[in-house]
Amino acid sequence: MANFFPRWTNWIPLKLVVCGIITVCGLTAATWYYATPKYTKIGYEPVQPVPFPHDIHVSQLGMDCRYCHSFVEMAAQSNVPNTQTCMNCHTQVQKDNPKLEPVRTSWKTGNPVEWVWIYRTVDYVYYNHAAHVNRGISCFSCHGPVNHMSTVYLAKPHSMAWCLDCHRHPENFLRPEDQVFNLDWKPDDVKPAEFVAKYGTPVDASEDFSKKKKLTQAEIGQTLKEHWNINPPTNCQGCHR
Amino acid sequence: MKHVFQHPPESTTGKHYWRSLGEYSDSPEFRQWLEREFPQGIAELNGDEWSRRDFVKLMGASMALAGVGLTSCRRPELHLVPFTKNVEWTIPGKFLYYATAMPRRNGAIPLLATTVDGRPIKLDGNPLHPATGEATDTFTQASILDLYDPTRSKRFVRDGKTIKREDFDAYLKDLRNKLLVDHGDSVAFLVEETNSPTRERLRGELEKNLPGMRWCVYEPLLSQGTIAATQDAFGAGARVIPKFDRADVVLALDSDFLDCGQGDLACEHAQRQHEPALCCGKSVHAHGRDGRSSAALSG
Repeated sequence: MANFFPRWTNWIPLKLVVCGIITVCGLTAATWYYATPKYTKIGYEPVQPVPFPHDIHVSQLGMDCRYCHSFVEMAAQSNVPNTQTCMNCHTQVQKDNPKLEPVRTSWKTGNPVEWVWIYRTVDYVYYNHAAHVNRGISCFSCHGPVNHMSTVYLAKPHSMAWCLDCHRHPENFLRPEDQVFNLDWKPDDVKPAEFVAKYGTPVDASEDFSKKKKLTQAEIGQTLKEHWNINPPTNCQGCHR
Repeated sequence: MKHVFQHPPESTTGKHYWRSLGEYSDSPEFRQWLEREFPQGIAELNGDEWSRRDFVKLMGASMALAGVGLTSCRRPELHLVPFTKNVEWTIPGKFLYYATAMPRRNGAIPLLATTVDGRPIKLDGNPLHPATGEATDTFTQASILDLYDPTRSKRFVRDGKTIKREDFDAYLKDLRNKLLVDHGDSVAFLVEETNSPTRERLRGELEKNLPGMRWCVYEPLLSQGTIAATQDAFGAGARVIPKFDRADVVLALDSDFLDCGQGDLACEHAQRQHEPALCCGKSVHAHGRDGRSSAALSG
């Protein structure tokens, strides 16, 4: 019987399998990297109706976050300032700046300024701002160095894994409650003696924190976690309720 | 498999059935209407430039092309829309309660209004008020819709045309001057019955300026009869407030006492000890507690 297929065709099945494996692995890796929030979201910096410079308002002028985001300590939702809040100052300061035209128009017509939503928590996730900022989670932990941003961009991925990183180990992020709105705070700023006098030391502390020169974030966080009895939910219903 | 539903062919012999008077008369107008309403072969689009199959082919192609461009794979741009001017006292996502009252013929129903972002969404009885407790009635519950009634007047209108507030003020001023000339002899006020002290005060002020005016109170069911009966029974100035929560038997003659939409909600008080037996009707039936099961509402 004659050979219908030439000799080189013997390798075709093997070649197909190898190609298939490479393709599947490549697709999986690409999806893993490019289709997750870490890649798709970070750095999202839409054009806002008014290019509001947080760096000028916070770092130069020294305004507190809560002047504009006034309900962040009381409500689940942190509000964006209404036109009235802007106009408290901008009827006198920079009152002819053309960049502020949308705000002035809004004030005249009564139609609100439509800010583009950057940090969007999906509807099936419950998130409470007040519960976090009142227990030592700074704005910085989720929104990055907003006080140095000339226009706001998305600085952290806000994916579920990212949420759980903190919910499983809150001691890496907790800070004293009076430093929550100080976005430039560093663990080195803490004075160990005062800190221990106010919050005590963790149960399994190996040394006396008050005698140390500096405290690390882990030491501060562990102290606060035990002092406030912080036990963040890591079950599904904690947030998807 | 394609199913073609067709009416059975009309038999040429025997009885002839018709489905409408038009079909029976079989006039040209009816045939024309039938053709317009159900044109022949509409489902196939035969004889047209496009057949149905061509249409589906084209639609399929455009759907496929839409998928190639990943048209819907953009980040949707949503907006945060704050208030222009803040609503007083509100905290986003939290309720704000106001104590208020709904005026009624013989008083008012004390209420708690629940508001979100300055918009009332629910009315409940004020639980701190001793007279009614948390009770409200159907009218109160329904009145929440009045606040969002699209036909509510929002502008000044004269002869069907929108006018300015100043025009209306000028009209009122004119009217006032005209009425003052004859001391109000030519004017009558037609009002509903109410207990509002504010309205009484306004009426007093009007009477001072317009001594000749007439003040007419009209209700479809005026409570004059009740007042007269109460006066005969208990003396002047008395008013009956039934406490149905304490009643074993309620005998109602020509009285729809369950519809106590007159400011007296004692019968709907939440702390009712037991259900009273109800006896209503044009003829007298008296039922005790034993006969409760047989007590029927009528009249």
